[in-house]
Amino acid sequence: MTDSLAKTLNALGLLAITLVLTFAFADQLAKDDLPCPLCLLQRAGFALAGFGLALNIFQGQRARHFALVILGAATGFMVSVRQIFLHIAPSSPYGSGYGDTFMGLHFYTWAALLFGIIIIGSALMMIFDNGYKADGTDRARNTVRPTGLALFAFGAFSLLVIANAGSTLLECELGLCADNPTAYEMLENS
Amino acid sequence: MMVLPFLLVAIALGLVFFEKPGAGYVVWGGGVLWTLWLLNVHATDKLNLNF
Repeated sequence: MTDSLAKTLNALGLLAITLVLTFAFADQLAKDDLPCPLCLLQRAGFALAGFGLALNIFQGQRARHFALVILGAATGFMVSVRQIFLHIAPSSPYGSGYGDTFMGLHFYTWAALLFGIIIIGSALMMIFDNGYKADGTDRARNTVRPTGLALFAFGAFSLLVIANAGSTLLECELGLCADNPTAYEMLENS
Repeated sequence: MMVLPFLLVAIALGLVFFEKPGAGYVVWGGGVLWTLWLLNVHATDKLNLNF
């Protein structure tokens, strides 16, 4: 795999994660549907996974960066699976499922699927990349600053992470969020 | 407390942008551990939240 192809694929991956965060954020703003604590932790999982792809864009594709992607996605996967288990029982007092659906699946189910895809995608990228040598060293650092699509993906992803930080601060202030939040605590208390 | 994972990732991204990836790793690691700790708090009997 050439460096430019690797950079493009990583940029597209980061854009895909940005798209997921944008969709969740748009749903929050458009429907005034505040994210629950587990929903926020799933968003954090996407942010943690995206950081590894950002490293690939800035430092060149390396195995350790994919390790970060996998660890971040695994963290998010654990959170989303917990939420699936909480609401999977038909006799749940909260009804079947929680929150909005998209194409018939709840957001947390989509999150679990996407985290799984991220983990598998990272493993495939490591299999098909020829930059990892038999002596254990990987490809030399690519210190060329990103431009074009890669820089746009990094900028958009960073903006979404900062926007989520601001939104979470408004919703939960500096503590834990309400179980089923209905208002931005910081705005209510001001 | 819930804001910290996003804050730490944002700081880590800034560190990568300004070519300090080593520090970015450390800050990102803090974000992972904090997220896992929040999941633990969420799931334990102390809170045992449903959402």
